[in-house]
Amino acid sequence: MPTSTDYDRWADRLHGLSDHLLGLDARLDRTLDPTRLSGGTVGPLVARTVDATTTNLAASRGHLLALTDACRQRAELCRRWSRALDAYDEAMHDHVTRARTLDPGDHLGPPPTRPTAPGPWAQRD
Amino acid sequence: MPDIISIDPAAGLDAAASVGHEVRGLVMFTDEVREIDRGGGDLATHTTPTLRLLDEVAEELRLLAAALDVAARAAIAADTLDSSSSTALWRAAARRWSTELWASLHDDIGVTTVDISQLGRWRPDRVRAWWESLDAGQRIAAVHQYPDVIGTTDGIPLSVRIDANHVTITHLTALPDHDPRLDQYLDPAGRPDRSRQIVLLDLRGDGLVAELIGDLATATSLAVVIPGMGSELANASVVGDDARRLQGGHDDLAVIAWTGYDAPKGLVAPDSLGDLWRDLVAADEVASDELARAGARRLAWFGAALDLELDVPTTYLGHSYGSLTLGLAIRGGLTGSRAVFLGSPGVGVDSTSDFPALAFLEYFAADAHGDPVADLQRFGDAPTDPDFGAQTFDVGDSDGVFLQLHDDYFENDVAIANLRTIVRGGSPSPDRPSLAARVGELLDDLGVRGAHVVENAGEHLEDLADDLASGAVDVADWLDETFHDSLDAAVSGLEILGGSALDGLEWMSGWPPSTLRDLLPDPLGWFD
Repeated sequence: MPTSTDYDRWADRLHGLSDHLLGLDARLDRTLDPTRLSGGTVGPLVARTVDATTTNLAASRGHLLALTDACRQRAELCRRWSRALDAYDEAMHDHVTRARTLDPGDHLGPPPTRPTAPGPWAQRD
Repeated sequence: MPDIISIDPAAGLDAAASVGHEVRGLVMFTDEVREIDRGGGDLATHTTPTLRLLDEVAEELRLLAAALDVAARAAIAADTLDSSSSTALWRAAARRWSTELWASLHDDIGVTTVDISQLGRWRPDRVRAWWESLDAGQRIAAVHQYPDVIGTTDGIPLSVRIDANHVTITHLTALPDHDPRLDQYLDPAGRPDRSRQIVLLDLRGDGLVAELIGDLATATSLAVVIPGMGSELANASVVGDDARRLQGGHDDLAVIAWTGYDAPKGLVAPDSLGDLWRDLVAADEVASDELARAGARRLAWFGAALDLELDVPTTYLGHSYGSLTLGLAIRGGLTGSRAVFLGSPGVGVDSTSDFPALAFLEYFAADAHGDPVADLQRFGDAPTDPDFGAQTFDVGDSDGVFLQLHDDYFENDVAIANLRTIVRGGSPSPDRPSLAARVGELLDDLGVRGAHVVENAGEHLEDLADDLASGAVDVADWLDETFHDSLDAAVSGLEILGGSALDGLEWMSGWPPSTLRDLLPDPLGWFD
């Protein structure tokens, strides 16, 4: 399972890829200059490809940005869960220590509750 | 410079290289997304559509790079040729260029190499399988590099053949000394007419050509018209116009004018010894079924290719020598919905039962009354003969004489309406007796009526005499009432027959022309 570190790294790469696609679209616009490549039967192919590519690149960027957000959210959830688990571990350690040193008649109280994982996709840092 | 390659070659090559570079970068990034997809994060909701889109973009760009590369190289090849180069030189150069390019494409994008110049020898189903094994980029490359092969090979989809032949026409008409037979495919501005749907174009010899009229996307019936003697590329507009009249702008009909075989040369009124020699050669060709046999093989393959691609009932209409070609093609394996023989000198068999069983669902035949070619029966019994087994139908009355009668099947409204009905799967109106037969019937009828009248007159002679004598019956009225209708019809029929005969005599009086009269011996002074 990925950790918050993995999700952070992925989010950075995906954001970079999204930027790359933005640049790719602009570069294609320049490379496939319709004033130089409009002739003959290849002209319509150029125009059609530029249109289709622009549309698909925009849609791809939308998905990539959503994916980036999802990775950042998961990284944050993984971090919070990991911190909660750390606190739980500490509380459980105290609970066990107190149980071992408990005098007769003292009340121990309930053990701490283990935090629930945010999803099957999460792994403790 | 030809339209197909009218891009700046340097810009084309630069763009192809740049786009290729971008594709490689995009593939690397896409691989990273794929890696993330496999990372166990259960992110498929977002990664699946992203990967699909990125793969599509990469594919589109890869194809575009290939097309730009091809177009740029074509432009360079054209630039290197001398402007006065002949068609043969251009084709030879294009061939060398395309062979090299084909090899490079094989290295670059993994084209399955075939000896494409041999493609026309393959059966249509094998061609079809090969074509479907190519990806879009390879198909584009094939059309641009081998337009003459792709545009003539049965098994290649018709839409691709149309594109390829447009490329061929564009290339060749850009040459300063281009083949004048191609001028019929240029628009008024002298540019290749993109609206023409040429599904076959071969400039060798007399030339082969086939043109699709109508829209296959809306057509629910298809007709293939096979013309006869004298048909060739130079006069393809004749059968093309026939096909247009048959299609008539109806969306449900598509018609292919198929001059896909080497037909016998047409006879011309000889104005020179050269013309006379041409007629002798033509007479020899048309007397033999050799050309029809070769044409039948081509037609059978063309039909097989149509069957592979289309799912509409197809009617084949063979006219004149084309009906012999059609008949022999059916014997050789051509299948379809309906077969129509028009003005046929015979179709190679004496009965539809001699055709392979179930080759066609129905057979039809028609002759214009007085069609001299149909009367020849040179290649078997007339398909209009009741024993042949074809349904005969009405092709109307022609205003023409002699050979004109043979060429009017797509001219008059009755014939066209019946042919459309057949192509649509309906029942045409039945054949009518010839004009001569009808006049004969009228005259017979007149005789019968006359005899009947005399008989009645005899029986009632006394009463009639009394009536006439007393003035109870007017003699003129009695005669008019008795004979009027029959006489009118007979006179009308005789006038038409007389007119046709006079037209024929007038036509014949112009032969031989004066130039030939001077060359031929005329001891009896017949030409004077």
